[in-house]
Amino acid sequence: MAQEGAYPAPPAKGRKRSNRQPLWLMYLFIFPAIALALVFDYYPAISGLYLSTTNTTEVGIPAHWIGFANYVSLFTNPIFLASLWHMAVLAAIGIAIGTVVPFLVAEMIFNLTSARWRYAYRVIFLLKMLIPGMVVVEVWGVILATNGVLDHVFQWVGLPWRHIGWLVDPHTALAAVAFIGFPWVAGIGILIYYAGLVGVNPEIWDAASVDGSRGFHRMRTIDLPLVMGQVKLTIILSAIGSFQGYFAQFLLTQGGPGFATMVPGYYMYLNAFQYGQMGMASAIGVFLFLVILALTIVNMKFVRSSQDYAVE
Amino acid sequence: MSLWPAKAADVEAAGISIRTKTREAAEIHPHVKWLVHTGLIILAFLEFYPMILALLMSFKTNTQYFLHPYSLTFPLHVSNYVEAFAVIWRYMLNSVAVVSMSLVGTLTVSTLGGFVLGRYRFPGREVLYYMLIALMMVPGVLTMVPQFVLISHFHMVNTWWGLVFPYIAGGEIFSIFLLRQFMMGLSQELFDAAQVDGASMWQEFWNIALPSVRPIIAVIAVNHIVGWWNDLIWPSIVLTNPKWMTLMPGLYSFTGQYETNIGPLMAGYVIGSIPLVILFLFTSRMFVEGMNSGAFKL
Repeated sequence: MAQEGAYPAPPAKGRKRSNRQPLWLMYLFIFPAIALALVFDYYPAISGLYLSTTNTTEVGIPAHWIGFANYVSLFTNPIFLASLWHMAVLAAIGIAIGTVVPFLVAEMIFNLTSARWRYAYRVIFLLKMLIPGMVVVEVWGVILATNGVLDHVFQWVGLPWRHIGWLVDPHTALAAVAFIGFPWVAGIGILIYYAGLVGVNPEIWDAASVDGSRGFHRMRTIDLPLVMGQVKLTIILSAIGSFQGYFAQFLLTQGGPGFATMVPGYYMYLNAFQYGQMGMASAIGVFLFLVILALTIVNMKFVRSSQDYAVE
Repeated sequence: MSLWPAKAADVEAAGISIRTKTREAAEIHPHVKWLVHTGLIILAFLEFYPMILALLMSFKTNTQYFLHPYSLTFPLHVSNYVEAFAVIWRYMLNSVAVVSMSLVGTLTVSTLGGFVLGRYRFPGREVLYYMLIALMMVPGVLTMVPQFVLISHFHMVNTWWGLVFPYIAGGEIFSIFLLRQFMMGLSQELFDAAQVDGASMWQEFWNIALPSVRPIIAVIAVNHIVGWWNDLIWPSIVLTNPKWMTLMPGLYSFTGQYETNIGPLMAGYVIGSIPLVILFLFTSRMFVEGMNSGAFKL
């Protein structure tokens, strides 16, 4: 543009950092954070690695090093192997839901013309995030119970299904656990995508509408690539969430009926605090950590970052 | 090449702050608009259905529940709330104490840390920063069991410290990450001016940096309050004595006692959910705006 340089360039935003204060003060400021992280994050993480190679039963009871025996017995344990399968199923569902639903709903909200409604819907869905997960899951227990809401809905639409409780029937228990939280709209995902859409340069929409791209077509071809960074983030968050989560097991199913809804996280909890097998529990923890770490790295490497699409 | 129209640049140059609209929605067809509204309202209803159900059930006796589970039944048994509150008020107070202590700790530690990491250059800064940030990759499942062992060695089982220290250590990580980003984004001029006036580092922190990052502090605070207030599994491991129990493990044991008495049980759930809703009424604008101000712009 011809006008370039007519006005002074805006100041580069705070990249420079001053150095005129005493060094020791800087270390003093950062010290509490580092100390707490070392004692309460790093030490447990590292001692968890060690614990997993011992036959520790409970706190205070002496144990010794047994190498990888815990891992060997885990991977020959049919309960644990079943729990891995359940975890995979729940994670696949969780990732699909956690990535798609918030994107669609964020688009729905974002495309409303009224700023007030856009705000209202975001507030409504945010409000749900404040309700204790425990309360929500317990009420879902009522919904899924024998003669609960879901049974009545099935009756009402004329499906003759008579149930012994969706969470009690071994054939439906895992699906019922996955169904908890329907329609899965509320959550951080909606804010992530919304922020992503807000961050898009509005000229892109103008160009798109000139080209006649609108509705689902625009969402898929223009919006989706622009929020790839957000997609990546929600994939990671949903995966991590479903690998670690065992609220429904803890509160409703206890991993049952039988072991139909057992997941590694809950099996870890049981080993540590019910069965008195802390070494074994730590091995499960380490295993889950590695799975999550691998997934994060894969995501960082192979999902295209938002920079690839930057338009400026 | 500047994308800004000359007109806006003129106004900016004249010293008047204007922002181009972040977005002007492309006109959507009115039919589509109503479809979208209907869809969103149905989704909101389904999303809140468990709360609606809990609210309805909380006013019922067992008989009323079995006869009319989905409608409001009269008389309303408000006494359910009295009965529930008599049990859980103590848990709520405990939660307030634990959450306050954890919040003060986390905000102190992470604003100080985020400030130096974002504003100063010193040997080892990058190492320390990545050392903290790396912990975002360490999930709770890895640390839960060994953390309990640690807490036991520190004799913190059945004390609030067994919650507060792990909460701070866990909460500071993402807080520092966010605060550092925001501190870095602050304009250097303010700090230069302060230094010319001979401001100490503490003054820079307290008078300039902290007031400027207040919105993100609010976001961090609200997020942590929600997380800790609603935390169930860790506190139910650490606290087994009802005297010290926080709200969620308290409600959990309450569930055991009232399993067959659905009215007071649901009343307890409703009471336990209310404080955060009230908090939200006061902070929602801050919360939403803070969220959109770039916390999640990755």
